[in-house]
Amino acid sequence: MNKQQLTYYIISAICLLAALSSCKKFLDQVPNDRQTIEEVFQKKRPSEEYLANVYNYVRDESDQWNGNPWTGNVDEVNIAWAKWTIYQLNVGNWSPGTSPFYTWQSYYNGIRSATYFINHIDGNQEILALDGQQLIDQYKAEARFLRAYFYFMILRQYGPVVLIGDTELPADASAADLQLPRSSFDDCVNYIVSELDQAAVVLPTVPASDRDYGRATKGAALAIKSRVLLYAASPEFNGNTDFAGFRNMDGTPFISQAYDHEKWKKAADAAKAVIDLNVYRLYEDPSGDPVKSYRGIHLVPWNDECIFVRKSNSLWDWDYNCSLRSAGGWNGVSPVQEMVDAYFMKDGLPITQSSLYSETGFTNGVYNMYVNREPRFYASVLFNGAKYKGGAITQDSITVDMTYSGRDGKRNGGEDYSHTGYLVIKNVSPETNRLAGIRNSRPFVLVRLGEIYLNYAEALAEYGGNDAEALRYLNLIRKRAGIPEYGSGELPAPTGAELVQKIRNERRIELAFECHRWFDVRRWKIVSSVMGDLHGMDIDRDGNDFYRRVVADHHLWKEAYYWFPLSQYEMDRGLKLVQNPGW
Amino acid sequence: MGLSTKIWLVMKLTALLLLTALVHVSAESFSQKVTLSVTNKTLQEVFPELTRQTGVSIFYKEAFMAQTKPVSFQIANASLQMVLDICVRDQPITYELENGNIIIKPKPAGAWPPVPAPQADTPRLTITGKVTDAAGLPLPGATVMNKATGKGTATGDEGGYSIGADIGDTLQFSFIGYASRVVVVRERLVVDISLEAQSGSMKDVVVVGYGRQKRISLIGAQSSIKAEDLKQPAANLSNAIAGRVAGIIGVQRSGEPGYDGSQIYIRGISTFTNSSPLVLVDGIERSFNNIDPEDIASFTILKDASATAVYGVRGANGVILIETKRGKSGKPQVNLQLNQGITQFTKVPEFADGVTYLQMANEAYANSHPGAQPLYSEEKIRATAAGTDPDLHPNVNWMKEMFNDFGNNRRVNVNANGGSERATYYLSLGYYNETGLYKTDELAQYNSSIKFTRYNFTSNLSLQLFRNTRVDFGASGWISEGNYPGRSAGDIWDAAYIMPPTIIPVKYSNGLIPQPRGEVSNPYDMLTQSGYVNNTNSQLWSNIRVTQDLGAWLKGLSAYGMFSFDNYNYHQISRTKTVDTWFATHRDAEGNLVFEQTRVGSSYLGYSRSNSGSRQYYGEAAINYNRSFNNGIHEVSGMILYNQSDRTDAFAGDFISAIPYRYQGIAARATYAYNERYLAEFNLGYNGSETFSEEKRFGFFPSYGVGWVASNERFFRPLSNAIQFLKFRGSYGIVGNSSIGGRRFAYISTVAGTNGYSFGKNTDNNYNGLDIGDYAVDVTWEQAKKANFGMELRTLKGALSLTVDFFLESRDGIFRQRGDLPNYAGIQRAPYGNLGAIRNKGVDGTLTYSKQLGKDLHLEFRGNFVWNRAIIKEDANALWPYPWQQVIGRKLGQRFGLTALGLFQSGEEIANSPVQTGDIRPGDIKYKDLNGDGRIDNYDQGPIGYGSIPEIVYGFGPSLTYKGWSVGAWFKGISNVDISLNGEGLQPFQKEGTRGNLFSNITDRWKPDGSNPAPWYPRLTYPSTSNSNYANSSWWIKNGAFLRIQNVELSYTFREKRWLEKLGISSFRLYAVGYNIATFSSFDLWDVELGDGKGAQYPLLKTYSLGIDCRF
Repeated sequence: MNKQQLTYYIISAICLLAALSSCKKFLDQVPNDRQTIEEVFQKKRPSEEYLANVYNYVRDESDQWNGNPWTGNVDEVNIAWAKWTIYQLNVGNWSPGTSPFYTWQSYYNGIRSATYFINHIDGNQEILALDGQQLIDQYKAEARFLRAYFYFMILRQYGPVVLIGDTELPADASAADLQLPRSSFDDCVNYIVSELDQAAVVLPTVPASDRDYGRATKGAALAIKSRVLLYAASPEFNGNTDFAGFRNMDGTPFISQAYDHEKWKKAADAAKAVIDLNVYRLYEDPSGDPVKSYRGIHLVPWNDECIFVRKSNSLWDWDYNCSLRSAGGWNGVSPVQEMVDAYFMKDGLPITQSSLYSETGFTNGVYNMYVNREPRFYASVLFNGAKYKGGAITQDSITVDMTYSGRDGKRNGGEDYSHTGYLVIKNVSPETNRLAGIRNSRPFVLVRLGEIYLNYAEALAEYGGNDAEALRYLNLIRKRAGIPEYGSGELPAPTGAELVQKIRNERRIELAFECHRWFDVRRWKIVSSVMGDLHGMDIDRDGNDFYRRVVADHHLWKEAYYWFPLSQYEMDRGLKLVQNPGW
Repeated sequence: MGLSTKIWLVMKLTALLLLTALVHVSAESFSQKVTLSVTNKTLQEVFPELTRQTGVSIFYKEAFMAQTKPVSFQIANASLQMVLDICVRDQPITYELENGNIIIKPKPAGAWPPVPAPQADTPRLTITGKVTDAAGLPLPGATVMNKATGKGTATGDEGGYSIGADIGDTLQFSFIGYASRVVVVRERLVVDISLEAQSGSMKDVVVVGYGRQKRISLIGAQSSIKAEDLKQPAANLSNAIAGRVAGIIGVQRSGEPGYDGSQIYIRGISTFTNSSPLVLVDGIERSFNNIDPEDIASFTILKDASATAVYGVRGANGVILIETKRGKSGKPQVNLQLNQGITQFTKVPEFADGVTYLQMANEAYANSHPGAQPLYSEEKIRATAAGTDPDLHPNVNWMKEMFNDFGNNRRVNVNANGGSERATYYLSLGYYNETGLYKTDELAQYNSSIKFTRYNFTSNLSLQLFRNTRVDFGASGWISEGNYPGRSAGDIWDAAYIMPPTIIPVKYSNGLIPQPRGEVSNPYDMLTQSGYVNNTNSQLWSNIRVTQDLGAWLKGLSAYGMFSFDNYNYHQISRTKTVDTWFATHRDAEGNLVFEQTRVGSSYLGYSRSNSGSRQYYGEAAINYNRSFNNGIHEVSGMILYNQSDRTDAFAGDFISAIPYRYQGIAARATYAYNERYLAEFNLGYNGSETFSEEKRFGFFPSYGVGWVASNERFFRPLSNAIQFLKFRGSYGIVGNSSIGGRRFAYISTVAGTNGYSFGKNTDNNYNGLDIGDYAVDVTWEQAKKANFGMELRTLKGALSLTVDFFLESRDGIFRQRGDLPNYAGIQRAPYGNLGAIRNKGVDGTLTYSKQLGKDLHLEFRGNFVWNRAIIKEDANALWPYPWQQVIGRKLGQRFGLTALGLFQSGEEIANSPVQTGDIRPGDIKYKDLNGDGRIDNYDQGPIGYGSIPEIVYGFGPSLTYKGWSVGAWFKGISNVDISLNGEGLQPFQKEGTRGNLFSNITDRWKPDGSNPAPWYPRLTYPSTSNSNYANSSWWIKNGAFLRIQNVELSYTFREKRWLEKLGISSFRLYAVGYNIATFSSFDLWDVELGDGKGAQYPLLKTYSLGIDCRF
């Protein structure tokens, strides 16, 4: 073989090689045995992971500055930082185009995933073999609960929702085939309630094992139902002719235009159903100290008052943001004076009626405004002159000084200073220490029995006919709070409209900073009177000049703000959607 | 058969080929063949080399050598005897062979001085051979002249010739448009010669996709950069390209050593997906950022479909072809270059000093809170101004504290090339080192300075294995080491923008590191106390190519096969730490500072590591056919090629990305030229991409082109005095883009990991989340239909040449996630589809004026230009409510925002204007209510400005050469571009409290007393977010156009100097370069090229450098 020939062979060999590999297999390289969504639903653990993914859409509401507006956009707190979205909301810089706090999309993602789970978990061979149909039914009920919960979350923020139904919309459908209208508020409520009822039938009353705590239970489903029906019975949604013009494209009103008194009955019954489960108790500290009892609701994990919680959360971040700078925190979640004034005195009377209240002078260095208040005040609000220990303050407690030049005052605070002269300490763990990197971990309480009592009392009082029963539950709350019950001592037992007002007052205090007030002031239709200028102490002053009410914040109110707007993105794509009034 | 087996086979074959070559060479050396080239060397110098090559000892007495003259010759594969004959010719010595040794003796008396030998009338030998161009195409009509006899001949149809000569005669080969070559006849009777076209001439052979073509017959739109122009004192080659070549849109967004690459787009962006061009180095897909410019032989960009269709699914964004240098036969040429430069930032943002900061803060606070007491007391301002207590009342210029005034860069390259007729080599070693401008702390025990060092090596070997077989082997690569502070440049810059001058000093007087509470960070701490990060990149490229001339089977036929293996490794070690930080709150009664600890540091260096890497196999085999008929009247060429590539991410993070990235395809080309007048070309790519389902995987990408060289027409002759060359060409074709970014294997659905959830009362029962990831979709590549019309003109006696190309591109089926899905559908990842459409059009051109003015003076001016505009035709989104909000019909990258009408002058004007959100007062920006609904909101955002990617990029520069002197400059500019300003540091007091620096132009603001009617800043407020002054609006859109003096160079070349010759240096050039030395722009807050935002990036660098370039 001469050289020339050899080369030809080599060239030919290379060409041949190339030709050989030109078979289409070269590009066909995705293995067939990769994980597919069908596989997921044949196995137990992956299916549970899918369900965990659905659970994850349960919002962690610990972030009240950039993630959730429920306390910072109402007469509860001022958030110190202009950099967060909450600031934009309060100055009115929002529109369908910006749509801040846009949870609509994420909840609908959760709804889709829940539906997909419900429709695919049946016939899961591994679960059937290991645990039987019962566990599949339970998981389906959990997903059904979650789906209903998500719908309610959208409903409370955006008003009437788009009900998707039992099958998810196909991803490859044309845009025209994806068009759905919003349903009326009552239809939404009915759907959510029927779904919760369906779930409640299957869900266990108590979790099957220690490992299952945190999953949806019968109580969770019934508790959410209670809240849904309470809202539905409330003035905002029950025969509210202010919304007469808010109609679907076919002319049907979104909000019922005729008042239905029986809705209060349904709400009362729903609350009672939770109470009658008899598995939840108001939390009380063994010491009997009402401050500890009240703080324990949130700080003692898995106490018996909790009905539905989110175990994984960022409460440590809430701790950071609420805590004093001296304690390593960021000093910026500040109750407004209106909130401070709402707390009762220790005699159970409001400051306007109690003889104990004074806005002059000091007692042991503490401004008299803060003296003789009810235990829940001391468990919730940190005020100037209070003693504090927690976070980085681990040895001796310090005396809080939020005056202008004080240790935690504005002057040295950079952007981190209380704008009102108060800080929230409710649900703030003293164990969290940012400087040392310690994060107290505890479940985020989403629903607790205290709320159900108040739901029950309110619905019953509104419905009428059994004020005594309503008062009983109101007094249970007051008793745990460590203040005199109505109908005892100097406190007369209220009835009728006065009882309703007392229940509302109690609710404001008991559920403060727990993401209720924003919705309550709307459903009671009192929102326009609680927004606007909000006050605080004069943080630009030192010494006694500090104790002067000044305007600390302004929460802009417009009629449109009853609900968040549907985003312009959604309006441009959902051609059957009607925008909320005023937007 | 599996891929690895195939690779094995190829590797074995390669080894076999190499082995054959080696055996071949050693057999020749045994028979004492000599290859040597000497210039003016004494025999005493030459003999040892002969001994070394042959093993034969040479003995002589110094006395005999006294009268010998130095010799110069160049021989390859000659016998020892022949070399000795040359050495003793015309010398008073002769030689004899004794016992295997050579003995030098004086010539016998009478034989000296030599008698000229009688000239033979007829040469004894007939030399035959073939003359070809660089592409191997035969050159009919070339002249072959025997200088000794003065007789000549011309080559025939196939470039063949035959001429009579004696040993020692000189043959000269010449052809119009080509550089002549001279060959001395040795004992070889067959002399094949390839002539290189003179650069820029129409005979020039240029690189095209998968081959070479004569410039005159070129139809595709392509342009190239002179290799010398790439040699800029910048580490990253991509920075030298924009403005240097017609058709490149490019901007450089950072000057940080090691991360300073430019964004490069060929003819702009015409897709929503990946718009980077395909880059091929020596025919293989490779990144070119770190190539040593010295090693580049040619740099070509392919722009239209005719040029890129052969690349099929990869060609739609244009192609960059880079070839590295190869050896040239002849004596070794060694080239040494040294370059030392000092670097400086082109522009450092200037911040307001502490006193200005405090005054402005007070003014802003008073504007927002009328009647409130000042934010900062007079006392604080006085103390800051006095600077007496820098611990409590600092006044820091953070920019000055962080950066040195100068950095430096250094480049060394030494390369050698040479070889014989049968084997040539090019070897090169490069070194690049750049020290950034960050300051370091002398006390730290580690080095956190910013430093980038790179070593490049390149070797290209060519062996003419047999008469018809050539083997090319290349191995090259680079290693780079980067050293950086523990925190990223982005973080550090950001911190410097956020930390006002008056909060903390750089360091407390007692040495403590300051850090206030909250989120503001001390930039100095981040820069000097955060440890360091060290990364190492290494890239190895190897390729082997065997080319076989198959002319024996069919004239003009050849074939080659190529295989390459590339390996890339990246390795980063972070040794970061945090130190304790403190904040001085006040002084106690004794005047001592009272500190509060704001961070508990880790104090010791931590450790973390990250790796990435990839390897790539590439194979290509092709058959070429090149032939001209009828005396060159018909020129035909054809090519068919198969290729496939396989790249594996060695540190893939998930299942899908661990699957190799593969391409496979066939490319074909046919060209025809009639008498260099009428040209036609057909190109075809038949390509497959793994991304698509089997049915939609492969596609045809054809392109067609025609050309007409009008100046070669008979009727054009009368015009030939005015116009020396005129050519028109047009092309049309289809190219694809399968690089959709982020979604591989679109035809399969995926399961995605999501956030999970936790259960469990006393135990943790944690679940990861799982959900549907992407839906399977039936998609295919995006398709670009491209048309190009070009004209080439040469006039003014050939001094001026102009090339202009007009282009149109219609990109359809662009990968786009569906944007018409309502959120209530709950679909997490919108499915992809071939949904987008973009139309791109533009023009690019190159102008060259080159004139010899007298004997020693040469003037040259070059310029190029590109303009493009891409319009969105379909973006797969639902329509916006108002026409001015629509994206469709507008240019890609169009900015949208409010239209600023000026500043409110009075409360009355505010009351009578549409409602704006927030606290609006005189001095605030007034916006236009586009939809007339009486309020300013998102619906009033219309198109404003151009966008961040320029529409126009141009460059031009003159150069003048006088004798050894040469002076040149290069200007680069971009236009039709703007900068959108935003971000903390730009917006004064954006976030309430002590955050955010102020630019020094802050004083140019609206004043409450109305004394500044046309301010830069509107009314200052505290915070600035309390109104809509900093909404995205035309107020904050600034013109981003600039013209930069990118390069000024002065050099002197020493040639043919005796002192150089003594040093063995053939040419020596000394030069000084200024790079990026001046920028002209109406924007002056930061280096305008950095673009949008607040300028918080590592600025671009200007460099002054000195260098030498020395050839041995």
